[in-house]
Amino acid sequence: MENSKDLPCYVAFNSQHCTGCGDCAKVCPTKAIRIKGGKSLLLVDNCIGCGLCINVCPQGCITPTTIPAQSSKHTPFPIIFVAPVLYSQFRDATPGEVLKGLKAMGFKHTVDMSYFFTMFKRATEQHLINLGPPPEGRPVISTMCPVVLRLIAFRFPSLIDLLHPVLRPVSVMVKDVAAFIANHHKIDLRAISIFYLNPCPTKMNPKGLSLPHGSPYITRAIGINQIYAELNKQIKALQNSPLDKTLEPVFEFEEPPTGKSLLWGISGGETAESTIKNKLCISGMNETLEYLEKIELGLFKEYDFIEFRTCREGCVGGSLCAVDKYVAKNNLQQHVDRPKSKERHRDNLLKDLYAEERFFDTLTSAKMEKLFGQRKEPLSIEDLTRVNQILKQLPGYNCSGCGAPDCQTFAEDVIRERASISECSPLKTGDDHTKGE
Amino acid sequence: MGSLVKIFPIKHRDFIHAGKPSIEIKNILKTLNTPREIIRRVAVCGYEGEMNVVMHARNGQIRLELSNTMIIIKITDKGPGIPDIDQAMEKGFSTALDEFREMGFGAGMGLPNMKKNADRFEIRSTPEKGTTVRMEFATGER
Repeated sequence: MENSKDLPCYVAFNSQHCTGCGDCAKVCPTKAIRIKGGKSLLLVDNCIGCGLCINVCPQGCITPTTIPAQSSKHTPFPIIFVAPVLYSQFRDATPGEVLKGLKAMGFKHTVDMSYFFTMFKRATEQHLINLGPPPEGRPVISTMCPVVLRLIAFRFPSLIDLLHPVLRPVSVMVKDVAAFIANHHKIDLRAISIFYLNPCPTKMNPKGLSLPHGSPYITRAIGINQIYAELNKQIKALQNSPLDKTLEPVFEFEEPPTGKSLLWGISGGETAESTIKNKLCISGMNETLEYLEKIELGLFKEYDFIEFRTCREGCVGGSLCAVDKYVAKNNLQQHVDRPKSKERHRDNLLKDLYAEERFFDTLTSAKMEKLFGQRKEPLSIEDLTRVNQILKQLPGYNCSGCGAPDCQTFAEDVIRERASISECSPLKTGDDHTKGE
Repeated sequence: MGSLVKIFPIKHRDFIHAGKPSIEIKNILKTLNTPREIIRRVAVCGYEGEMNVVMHARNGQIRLELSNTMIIIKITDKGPGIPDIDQAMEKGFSTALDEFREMGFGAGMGLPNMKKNADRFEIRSTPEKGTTVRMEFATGER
């Protein structure tokens, strides 16, 4: 495997059961997979962690690089950050019961991420007001989905300037919450282990997170489907037994979300309870690519905000979710319709935080490109001319017989000396008389 | 010194494929690691030019020429031509059919936008023959 150190690796290939069918190579949006010697091979530099290959592999030999859920039991002070999509995985348990179930599993504190996402939403509203009316700086693109960020840096660099220039909420909350909890319990920051409970492989590697450098605490990611069976068991147990007071929320960020704050896990949830009405909510990798292309052609400037999720229907469609996305959507709706508790945020406080530039990083376009832009080596005009010459020789079937997803990628691989033209099987057998059909 | 020429056909009223040539041009520029600000301008100009052909002309083509210091986009069509170019260059002037306006096109910003985004902009038109728009973008030494 081609593996550059210091680069995040979101998925792992088990070559034992790989049949070399090439389905993963075809579906990859950054063309990061080749078949070599009858087995899949990941070009780590080009992987953005979208998880499409995990879903498409008929043999199940592609797995996210998560850690076993049990490893939390071997740390002295585990706390868990919960992606709000988790609540959608349960039909008969309330969000509050789900969070208690996690505590029953041994996590000292649970952190409901939507608590911080609501702050982020407020920052987005203010940013749009500050920009003035469209088309100035429009459409602003959401930075919630990390795969979208990497996709933009990798394939649509001209759109970096449209990204909402705030710190991603994950980076804010990890810093704040760890310090707060350490202070409250009078313990060393280093004693705290942070776990992420996630619906997708993209946050699996700490290097992929914009964490402050030299953080004393460690972070690890667990897939929802890895923890689901045990969590379900714990929830059932606590539903059948008298309430254990030790499982009750202690801090405000441990409180379960209610109302539209529950919707962050589905497409449209980010702006569901906001003042932003002039928006498009797009989900699915193909749709995301199509709209990013169009925005790059100068379209949709009349819209304020575009919410992209590369998983279909939003995070409920993530490859590490335990239940089907449409079932999950319905579950969420049931939770939303329950009576609403008090608002968790005072609007004035959020306004003050914004004024203090609490939400902003010095996230310049150049820095963005560096952080997320794992770029391919550029070709020269001469190289491109040679690519075109090779393409003219190739049959143009996009059959993947060579191991590349399509003829264009294969021709570029030949120029980059990653492949030899003799690997094109139709060309070898002389079966190219129907070229162009 | 290298140079590369690519020609893409544009079909009248083909809204399904409109934009595809500009997307392909964008991808070529990305492979060459062209600065993103230039990619953005070329993409906007290419697409506006394509849409003009799709809406107003009969068939045409978009031609990309790359050299080490320059990107040249030339859009040629066989169409009715533009009787008054100065008027066509005014912001908001449009002769687009109502059906196109209902699709969200024909705001009369195409040509002014192209002129604004290109480093050099030339337009020539002959009534009943067609129109040619040529745009240059300086890339500096590659």
